[in-house]
Amino acid sequence: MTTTIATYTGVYGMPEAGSAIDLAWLIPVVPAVSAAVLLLIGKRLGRYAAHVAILAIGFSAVASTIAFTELLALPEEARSVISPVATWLEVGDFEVAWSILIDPLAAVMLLLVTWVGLLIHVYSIGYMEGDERYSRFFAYLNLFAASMLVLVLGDSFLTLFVGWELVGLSSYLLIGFWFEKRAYATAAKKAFVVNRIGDVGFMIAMFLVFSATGSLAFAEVLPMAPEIASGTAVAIGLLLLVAAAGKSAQIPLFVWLPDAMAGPTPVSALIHAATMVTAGVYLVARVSPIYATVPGVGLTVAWIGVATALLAALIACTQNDIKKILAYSTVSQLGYMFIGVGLGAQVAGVFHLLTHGFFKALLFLAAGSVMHAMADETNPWKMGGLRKVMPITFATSLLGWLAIAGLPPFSGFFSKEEILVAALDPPGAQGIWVIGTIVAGLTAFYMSRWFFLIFLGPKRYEQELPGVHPHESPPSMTLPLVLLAVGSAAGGLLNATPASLLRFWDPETSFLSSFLAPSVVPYYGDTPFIPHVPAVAIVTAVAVAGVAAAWALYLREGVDHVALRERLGGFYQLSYQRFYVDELYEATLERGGRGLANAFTTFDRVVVDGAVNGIGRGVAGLATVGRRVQTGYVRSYALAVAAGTVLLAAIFLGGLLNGQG
Amino acid sequence: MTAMAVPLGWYLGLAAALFVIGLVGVLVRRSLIVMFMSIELMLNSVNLTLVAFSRFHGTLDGQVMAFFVMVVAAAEVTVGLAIIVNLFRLKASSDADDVDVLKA
Amino acid sequence: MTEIPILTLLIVIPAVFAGLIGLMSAESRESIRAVALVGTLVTFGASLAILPGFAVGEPGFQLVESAPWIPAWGVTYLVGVDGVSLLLVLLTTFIMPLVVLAAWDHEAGAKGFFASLLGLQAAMVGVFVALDLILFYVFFEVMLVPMYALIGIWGGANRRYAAVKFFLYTLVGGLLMLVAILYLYFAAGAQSFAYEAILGVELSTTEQTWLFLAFFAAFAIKVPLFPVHTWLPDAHTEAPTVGSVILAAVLLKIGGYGFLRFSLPYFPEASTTLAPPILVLAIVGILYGALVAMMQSDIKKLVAYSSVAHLGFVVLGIFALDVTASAGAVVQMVNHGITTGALFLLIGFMYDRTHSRVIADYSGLMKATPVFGGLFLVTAMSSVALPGLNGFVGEFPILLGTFQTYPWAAIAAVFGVILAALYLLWAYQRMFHGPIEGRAEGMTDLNAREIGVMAPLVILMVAIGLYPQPLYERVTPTVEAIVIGVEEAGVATEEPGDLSVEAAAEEDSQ
Repeated sequence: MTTTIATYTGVYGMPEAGSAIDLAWLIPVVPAVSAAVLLLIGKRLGRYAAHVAILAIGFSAVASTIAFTELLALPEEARSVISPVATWLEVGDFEVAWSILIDPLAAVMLLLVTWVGLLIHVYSIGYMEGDERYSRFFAYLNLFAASMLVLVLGDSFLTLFVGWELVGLSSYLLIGFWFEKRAYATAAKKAFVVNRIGDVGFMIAMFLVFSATGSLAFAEVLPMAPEIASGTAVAIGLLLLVAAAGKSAQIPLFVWLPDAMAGPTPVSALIHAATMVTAGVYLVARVSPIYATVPGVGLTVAWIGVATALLAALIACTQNDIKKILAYSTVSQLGYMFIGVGLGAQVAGVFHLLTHGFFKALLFLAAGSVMHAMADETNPWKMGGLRKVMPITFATSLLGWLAIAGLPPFSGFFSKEEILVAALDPPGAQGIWVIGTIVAGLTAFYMSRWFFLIFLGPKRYEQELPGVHPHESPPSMTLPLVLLAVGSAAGGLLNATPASLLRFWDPETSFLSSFLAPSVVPYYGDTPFIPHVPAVAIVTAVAVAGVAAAWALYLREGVDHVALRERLGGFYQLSYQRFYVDELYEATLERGGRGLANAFTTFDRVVVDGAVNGIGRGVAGLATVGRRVQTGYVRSYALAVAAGTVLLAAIFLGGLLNGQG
Repeated sequence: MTAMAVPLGWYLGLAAALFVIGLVGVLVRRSLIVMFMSIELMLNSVNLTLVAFSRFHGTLDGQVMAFFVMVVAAAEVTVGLAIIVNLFRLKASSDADDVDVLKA
Repeated sequence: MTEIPILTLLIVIPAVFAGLIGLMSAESRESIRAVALVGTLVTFGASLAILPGFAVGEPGFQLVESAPWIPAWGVTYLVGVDGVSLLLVLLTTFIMPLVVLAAWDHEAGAKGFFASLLGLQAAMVGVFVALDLILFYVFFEVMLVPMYALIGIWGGANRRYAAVKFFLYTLVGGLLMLVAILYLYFAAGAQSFAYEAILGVELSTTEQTWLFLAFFAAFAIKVPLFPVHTWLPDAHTEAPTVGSVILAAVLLKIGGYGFLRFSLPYFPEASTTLAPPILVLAIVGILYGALVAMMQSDIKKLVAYSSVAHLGFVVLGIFALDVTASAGAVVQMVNHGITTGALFLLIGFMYDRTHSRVIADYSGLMKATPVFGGLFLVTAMSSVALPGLNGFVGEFPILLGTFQTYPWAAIAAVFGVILAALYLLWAYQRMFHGPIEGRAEGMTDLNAREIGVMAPLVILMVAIGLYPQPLYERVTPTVEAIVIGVEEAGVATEEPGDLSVEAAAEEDSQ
């Protein structure tokens, strides 16, 4: 085992004029303009609003693909391309430009964001039909896509941050889309504020980066990473971790994501599964040259990731809301990605980001399809047996379930195993492998529970939801499901060639590993490739056991769930009540903050303003005393004048005499 | 400095005496008219001083100043008497102590 | 060099129009407001004429006009602009037509009202262009009169109290400044009251400190800085809409402007030594203003306290004594003018319809009045410094620059960013989300005139957010000269060793 730190040799080129990469600024701008148009005149467009939005995101998807192929055609060492667009800020020594950076990492993210985004736009035609703010929904979706594309394409910390914040705003708008319900509006605000807490970390990290390197552009900062003092680098790494934890819903800032399910389901799929929440992972991968200089910080990232994965998986096991289960599953899977990028296996992390993008988007859209059929019911105990009624949703969900459960040969298996294998080598990370394996079992368990309760078993809805007649969703909704199912099933091929299925990700032949190599710096550069077949076998066996346990509990007849819950007692309650994290935050932060604010408000009124009014009253009081002098008798005034004159004269004369004497 | 038939000190003494008489008059008398006359007395004592010094120094400045004082005094008399007449109409009294509307 | 004295025109035109309104019959409300609109528009047009004559990249004063005024006392009529005052003059002339348009339906005492607005504009422009201390002081105090009238005559229920408080606060600060100005002239032996003449005055450390504090009192009250901020919430709440807009957009900027124009260049040594405590006050203002804002039940008061927080950022940037931070502070002053002005306008539009500013009286406004809700959200986002909008391009350089000189201050201030999101979004959520209830029921959406007032502001928010260079190009050279001046003075006093080397080098080069 070696701990040689690979150095980052960032070489950045300029794009060829007129190429898709050169014009890549259009990729975020077109959906942004479309969003603006839809917000202004969307109502008049009626149903055509959806078409405008889809055209815009479709343009971005096609343009991204062309840019991607152009990038592939370039020699490997010239695949980091910066195309300047305009200056943005130039203040003293501080300069930031609106520039686009396309490198393999950005290109892969582009494809994910635009294509999954496109599918979800299409899905929304059916899902949002008849909503009174139909055009606004598509405007927000476009705005979201544009923000995410700015985030991915930004060539500096600050432009990335622009996208980062705009994504937060779009998320706020979309979660609170049905703002008439107070709880939804609260969830939206919670998401925005929790994200902002993370942003504080991001901003301070930027200050440090600028202090250390005099720039915020990746092309200048990242090659200088080894020269940053290690203390500063540790601080930057930890602060960026705070930022990433906010956006990617990691401990301690994960509380907003489950609440974010208040938004329409396509939003949950797009933002809270496939794209926005991956921004934190993307950020950590993007600045991997900095993390590479301080692997200890990376290890912290990984531990946070695995802790989050475990906590969220435990919570997901007992939730009774099909979207909430998926939400906690997302938190848990993001934890896996953090393990990957934290341990320097950025390729594995990004690989899982991609496969998760497929299967989680699929699962959310499938959940949406089910809710669409069940009059917006989300309790899986009221469903069951939907296999026959919704065959396409069922079949696609099946693939999504197998993928997330980590069963071979579906996509999730490859990416998850690749992450866990990465935990075998670095010092101090073996515990991560152990916990990660347990989480793999839990994942298989709760996802099987989800799947079985919805699609298999008896048709409980016939009793529970009288009057609901489930039906398959329209083609605009099932088509995205089918396409995503293909991705979920075959996504593993991105980094595992069929020829080397047993050898898994061979850096020489696997696509992602070789393609992403110029963008990222693995921290443990010289680690030889080891297949780790026994380890993989153990993880797979645990996952199968998870599925079996779910089968035993939820498909076999005659299991008394009430008794089971009682037997589990405190454990069940702890998980069902989400470990009381929200309550804890409410009791400490929220109440404390409110108390402080109240105290300050009182202080302001009583002490600060009181002092001012006190001075005023004091002057008035003095005046009350002073006005007694005013007798109103002319003669007393005259006497005062005379006495004053005599006094003055005495003083002056005295002074004069003294001066002479 | 010009020699003076009557020494300067005599003038100043007379002026001071006049001034004090005027001052005491203003302070102790209650009749507005008498107070008013007392003020005139004070002004004229000052005039006397000015003229005396003017003669003493052999310049005309003090005499010019005295003319100013006279003009101001004349204006003051006009305004002052008008006020007194109006007060008398209002209060049917020329007693200064009857007018204390400024009392706080 | 000037053929047309533009700057003087900018003072004279509104004054003349104010006089014109004074001559008109009080009954002819329609023609009065039309004259007011024309007056402000003409002024705005004239102010745009500054731009071509203003050389970008020059730090010093440009378009200087001078005429003898009271030569015996060394007082001259001297006006000119540099990068800092240019922006503030343009902000003033830009806001005023919108203000007149926003007050279009104003009825009570329209004649005095619109005349006050125009008179106020003349004084405000005067403050920013005056380059003679007495002239500056005159405009500084003259400004008080129409503003006092706006609050005291056309204000809300508690207007007397608010107006007097505003007046006394400003007056006290102004008098201290006057004493300091007179001291500079008489005791310190300046030859005239001209800005640059006083720049050459040699002061001992003690003198610097006291004079700095006297100027500081005047400007800290204007900003307002904690703990002399309590006049602001009262003034804002009681003032009529346009009064609040002008107060927020222009009047509060005089504090920051004064710091940059007078405090730093005149008293560099005192500025350097006193910067840390001032930064602490600024940070307290940022965090404290935000927390107090959170607890307000009156939306206008909430925005007023948010001003305390935002202007804390401005003071932070100025006294960070870093070029980036100080330039950011100037741009942030403009941004705050646009954004907070817009917020007050929106609140005013709402108040016109429902006569309540109590947050709890509203629910579901986003559904009832979508245009109003959308514009409010954009403005609120600009206020919480969302990147892509104007607030961010001011706030970020302030923080980044401050971090270079006083890291602790920047880190403390960053937390204000979270709080800003909290109080505004919380208020937004309570008023705009949820089902339509309370006074939101039956509330009509904005009309064409009101949208017309908001449109230029929103366009500017986006435009500045995406491309702030036109502002920074003009501000940075001026600010750089000021900050370098302070740094050099600081070096000269704090590190005599360095001085001798540098001075020697300078002598050699000359």
